[in-house]
Amino acid sequence: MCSPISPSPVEDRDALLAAISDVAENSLFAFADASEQAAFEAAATAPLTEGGSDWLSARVHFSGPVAGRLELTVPEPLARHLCASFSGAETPEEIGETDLVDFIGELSNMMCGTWLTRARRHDAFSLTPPEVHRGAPRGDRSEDAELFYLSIDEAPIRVVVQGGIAPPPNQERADAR
Amino acid sequence: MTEPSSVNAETPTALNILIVDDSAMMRTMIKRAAGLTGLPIGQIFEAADGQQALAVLKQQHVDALFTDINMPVMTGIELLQQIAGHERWQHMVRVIISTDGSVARRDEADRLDVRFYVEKPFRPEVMRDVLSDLTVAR
Repeated sequence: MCSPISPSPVEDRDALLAAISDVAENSLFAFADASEQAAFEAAATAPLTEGGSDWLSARVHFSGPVAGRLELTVPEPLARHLCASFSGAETPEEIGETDLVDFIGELSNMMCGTWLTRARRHDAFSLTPPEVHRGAPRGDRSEDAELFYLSIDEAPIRVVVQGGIAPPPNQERADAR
Repeated sequence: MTEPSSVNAETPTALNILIVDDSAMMRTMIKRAAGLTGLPIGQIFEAADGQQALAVLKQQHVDALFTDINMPVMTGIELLQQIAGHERWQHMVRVIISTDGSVARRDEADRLDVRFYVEKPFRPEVMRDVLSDLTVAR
């Protein structure tokens, strides 16, 4: 099933945004939209004393017809807000660190899986267990990494995709079913 | 394999269910969604991977298995392959809840007697529809 391809940039930004919107709306009762790099970087570099926050990043590797990784970076207050919506917690503050880390990992897993399913409907894929990192957003110097700047409930997030989705082998296959 | 239909109002008996997912938060979300259905749920067992699920299945009576696919140690597909063909679990309903909604994976699930395939993310109403169909079908 696995076909060798050279890493390629994500060809359809709309597909990624659609997948993230799907996850946000259906699991988190939240609203996702496109955003700007400047908004993310302003939030990421703001001191704690000036409205800044800690950040969480979750990375998941995917393999199948294509291989690569997706990394999601979100500010902690947004992570807590979304986790409360997901779990039914009464307040974001009552969420413990273990649950928060587990949730961000699962969120990256859902975003990656939903995106891959939308992009390559006919091919199964595998995802690794998410790796979650707490701290300031890290730069990504990978040459083939694509950085996407989005917002969820107006808070900036970043999604990095390395590798990615090649065009389907032929359109006939997609139309066959 | 079928998609869940709308809720049927017939009165069913309580279901024992096993939820298999490596994310504790996802297991919590599925339990919460099951609780919101208002349908009679018996015992809810949990496992973080297929191997843990097998251990539960060998010790407990389970009517419906809800399993993720991508998990460490033993995947959901491997779990379903392990229980396939065993008389003990012949009547246990298999449900996949996964982010992988590809046609290839759905075909694989079909071959493993999976009755429902739920794609993450899902709204709580989907769980209600699945459980309603299961309880009525018993």
